[in-house]
Amino acid sequence: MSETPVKIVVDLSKPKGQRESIIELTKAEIKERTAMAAEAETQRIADEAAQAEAAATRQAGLDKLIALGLTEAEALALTR
Amino acid sequence: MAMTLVETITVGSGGAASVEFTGIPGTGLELLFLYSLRSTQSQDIDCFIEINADETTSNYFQALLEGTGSGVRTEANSARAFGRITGSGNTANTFCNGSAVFSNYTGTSRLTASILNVTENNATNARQQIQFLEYDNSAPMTQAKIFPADGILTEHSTASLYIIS
Repeated sequence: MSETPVKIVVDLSKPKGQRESIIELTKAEIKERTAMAAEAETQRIADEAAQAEAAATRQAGLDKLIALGLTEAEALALTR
Repeated sequence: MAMTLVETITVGSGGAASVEFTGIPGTGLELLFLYSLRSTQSQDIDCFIEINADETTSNYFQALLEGTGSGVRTEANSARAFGRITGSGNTANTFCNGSAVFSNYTGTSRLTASILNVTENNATNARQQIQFLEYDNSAPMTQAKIFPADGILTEHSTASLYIIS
């Protein structure tokens, strides 16, 4: 792989066969990518935490319904 | 209606940070993107689109319904979101695939798009997405850059642009 990432640009105003350019990213573009990657990682961690919390809350609710005497099938039917 | 292939970009052996269509002709009613992408990021990751080189996230709004493999989640926020890309940690040689239709792309206000996207992984964590994107534009759509939030697009990633007229 090239040390500096590249982008592929296709200029559709040009005739076919002359459209594609492979251009190295500028320092500003690399900086933007770095910031975006950090933001994406933060979002990924937040998403995983939210999913885990939602799953735990759901299971706690099911457990309480079962403790009240419902079968698991009945409790699951109520949550659908 | 007629659908005309304008161009297909296929990423070469070195990979690419983004693929970008410029000079999109204003001769159609709608634009259709079909794509098959994989990134070097270890997990599948958000894909973004940047229209007319506009980086201002607040000009974009997305609504998302997503199956995660173990549940369902939704999002509604300002983001340049454009599906999700299969990552290098997913099953080897698999790619996400998706389609996106932009209505009235030659208009000058409130561009909207519908996006369908799936990632591939022979495991629980493979995403299925229905997404709607709104872009608060002031000029016709003449440029579109597609890129992963992290990592780069790997060899054989492909994006095609069609004009529907």
